[in-house]
Amino acid sequence: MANEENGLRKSIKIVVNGTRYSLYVEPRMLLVHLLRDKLGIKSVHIGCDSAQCGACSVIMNNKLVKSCNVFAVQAADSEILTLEGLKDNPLMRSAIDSFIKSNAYQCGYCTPGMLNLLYYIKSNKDSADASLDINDMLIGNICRCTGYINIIKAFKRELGAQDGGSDSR
Amino acid sequence: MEDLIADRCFKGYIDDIELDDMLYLAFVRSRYARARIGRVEKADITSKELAVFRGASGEGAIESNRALEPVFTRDTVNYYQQPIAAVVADDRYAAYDKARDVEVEYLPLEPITSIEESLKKDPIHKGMSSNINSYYKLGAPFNIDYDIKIEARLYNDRIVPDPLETRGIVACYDRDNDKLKIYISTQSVISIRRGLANSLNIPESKIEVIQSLTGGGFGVKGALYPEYIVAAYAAMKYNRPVKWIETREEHIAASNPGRGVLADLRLYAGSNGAIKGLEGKIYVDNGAYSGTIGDFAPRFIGMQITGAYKIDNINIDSYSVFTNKAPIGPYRGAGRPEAAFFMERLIDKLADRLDLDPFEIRLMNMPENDYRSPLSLEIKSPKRFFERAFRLLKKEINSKEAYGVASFVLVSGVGPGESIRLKVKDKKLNIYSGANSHGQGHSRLLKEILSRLLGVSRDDIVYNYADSDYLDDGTGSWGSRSAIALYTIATYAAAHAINAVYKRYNQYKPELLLSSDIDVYIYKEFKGQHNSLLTALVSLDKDYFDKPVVKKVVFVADIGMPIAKENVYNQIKGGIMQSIGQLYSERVIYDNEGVVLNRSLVGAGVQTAINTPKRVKIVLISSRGLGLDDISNYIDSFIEASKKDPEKAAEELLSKSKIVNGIGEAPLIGVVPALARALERLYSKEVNETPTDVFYS
Repeated sequence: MANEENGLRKSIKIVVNGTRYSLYVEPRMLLVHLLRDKLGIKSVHIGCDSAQCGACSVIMNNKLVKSCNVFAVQAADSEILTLEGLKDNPLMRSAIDSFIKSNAYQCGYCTPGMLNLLYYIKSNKDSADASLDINDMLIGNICRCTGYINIIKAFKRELGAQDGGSDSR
Repeated sequence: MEDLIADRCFKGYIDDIELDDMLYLAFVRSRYARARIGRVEKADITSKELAVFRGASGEGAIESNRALEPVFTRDTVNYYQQPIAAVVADDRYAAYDKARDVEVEYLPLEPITSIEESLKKDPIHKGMSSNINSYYKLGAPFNIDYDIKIEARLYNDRIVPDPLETRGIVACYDRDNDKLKIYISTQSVISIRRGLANSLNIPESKIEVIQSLTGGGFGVKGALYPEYIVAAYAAMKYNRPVKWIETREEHIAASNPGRGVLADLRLYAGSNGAIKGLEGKIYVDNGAYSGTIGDFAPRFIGMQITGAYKIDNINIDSYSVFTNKAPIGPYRGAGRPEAAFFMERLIDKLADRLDLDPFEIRLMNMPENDYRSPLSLEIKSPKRFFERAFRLLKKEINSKEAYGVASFVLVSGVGPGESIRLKVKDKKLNIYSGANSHGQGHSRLLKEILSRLLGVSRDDIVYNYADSDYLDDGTGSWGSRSAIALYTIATYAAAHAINAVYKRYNQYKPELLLSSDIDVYIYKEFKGQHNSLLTALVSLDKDYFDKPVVKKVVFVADIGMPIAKENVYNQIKGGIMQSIGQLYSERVIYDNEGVVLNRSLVGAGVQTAINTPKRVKIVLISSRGLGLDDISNYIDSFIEASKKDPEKAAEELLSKSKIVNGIGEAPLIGVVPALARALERLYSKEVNETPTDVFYS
């Protein structure tokens, strides 16, 4: 098995939710496993293993990334934010409130990824593509329970009255 | 739903559980759909030491000894990615490395990959005379006069349930007390306990099954699987905690998918459109082994085939047949959507032939009064509901859009019974139930009921994920049964809790309950049918690229008493999207060799937000009786009655209140055929199967 003594592991430094870590990782280790298995960051969920579902989305150097599609070594020297670090941020707080008010989750598994997406869109509102409707924004995040209808409602609540959502009771 | 942040995001799902000294389990799976197995080398656990079978357990499973699935096959593999051996390691990367290094000798055989081949070719299993797993003769031959015969071959392809959280388990073994402790993402701790006990031949009392926060189920998390048995065995063998988390690829290729049902049917009618008889054959693509829902499915589908209609002549031969595919399992609806798809498609075809209005032909064929079909489906005077519902639907029709309508029955699977435990601990009322939530919001529903009946604040009620050590018996969460079962048993449990407080303090007050250590366990059997009536309308338009856009879905349900309305709306909305998925894209694609080709979430056809309906309208029609708010006015007499005779008090309240109907699977039953009809109109091409390709060709 690989270990730091035989040189198969790489030394990386990474800041996660404001805490600095310095550790050895196998070059093949995915960022999502570094966060979950090594650092105990459990809001980052694994849904599809193939960068389709977005449940593992995190903010890396101010960009939204799917952490199952990034090697830990690629995240060296970067700053990562997850729901653990963002939960008291006013933009995220408001996103969470909208999710609760809109009944925008059932099993909750996709929720951290959805919230990170909403937070990311909100914090980059000025540079976002204004022509995108909410359905298009959600294409990289899969939810199997809600049919997206209430998630779209929560996004609408947060982003103002953009079209593309479902008007339902 | 204040628990979103506290409970759901940061911990509690099965893969979040970390225990000291934990081993990670990985499986070596077959590269072929059918092959003889020679030597297996470098594996940690093989059939040589673990030669047991997966016992029948979970939703719809009946005892069968025809061809039970071995946990590890000894000589022949019968489906692609069937487990052959397992390895353990200290972390998941090392476990996958080890699994990759295991050497397996294969002699590939020709697999059976379709229902048609299964009926023609030699049996898959040695010692059997055919590939028929189960057969039911339903109804009887009939000889009738008719004017019109509608013939159709209808098919629902296999679908993977694909909850966003895959299957997973953490098994621990306490050697000193000889007890297995199982953490698992499941729809039924009771099924898992029973199944493990049977498979490993250990007493149920030596197994505690604790449900982890469960990230969706849709049927696939009800049963016991070979992987769970291996995890439990490995925990005992190595005396260390063992974790197995399924990959998405494993889920799609080797968990138990649903649907996979073919029907060849003939509908006979008079020239006015009155249906006179239905005959034909139904085939379930059972997959390689028995012991799952596949044994019983042919009968269950057949039983419901008449839907909301009066059809007095039925003659159906219904089969499940072995193929070299993963065993079939329940997927949301589990037999109900298949029956409704077949019947609703036939009735639309009949309307087309006679140029009749879809509402008119449906009403014409509904019984005037309560009706029991020749195959024993019971419906209560459907016309009253459907006349009212159709009036609502007709107002929603836009002449510029293509629409389809379906009228249908939801057969809730309430039996055989359910359990609940109310246990006061640290001034909180703790709830445990065998009908455990896997994302539908049971917590909200139980707080709604128990806060009213017991006068306890919702904040003082704690919904616990199921733990089999708190429950002697129970069933699980499936078959649109939870609300019905939980409302009933929670009412009994509340009456018994009041009685217990009264016996101790000579009075009942919520504060006295919360300061006590009262512990009430209730199990009730449910008998008879619990069916509800529903209807759906779907209207479509084309987009710029000629692809369909769901403009509107209108859903009218006789819900009885909705306990937690938001839960009901959530179930319907989520189910509508899965219905769109079933028609547009969801299926398992097997090549000629039986290899599953579409082994990713999007590849399996799971929908993104792109095809979300533009508008959803839900109308809930309630039956007569006390509603939830009326019950609040009745509480004092309920408490008085509970002091004397809790059983009687509960019975009385339940008989006075509105009935509670199921909802969870309903959209898949009705929205699928309504959408099929709308697509048929929009593209002027027949839709006889799901998924359909009418808008691709």
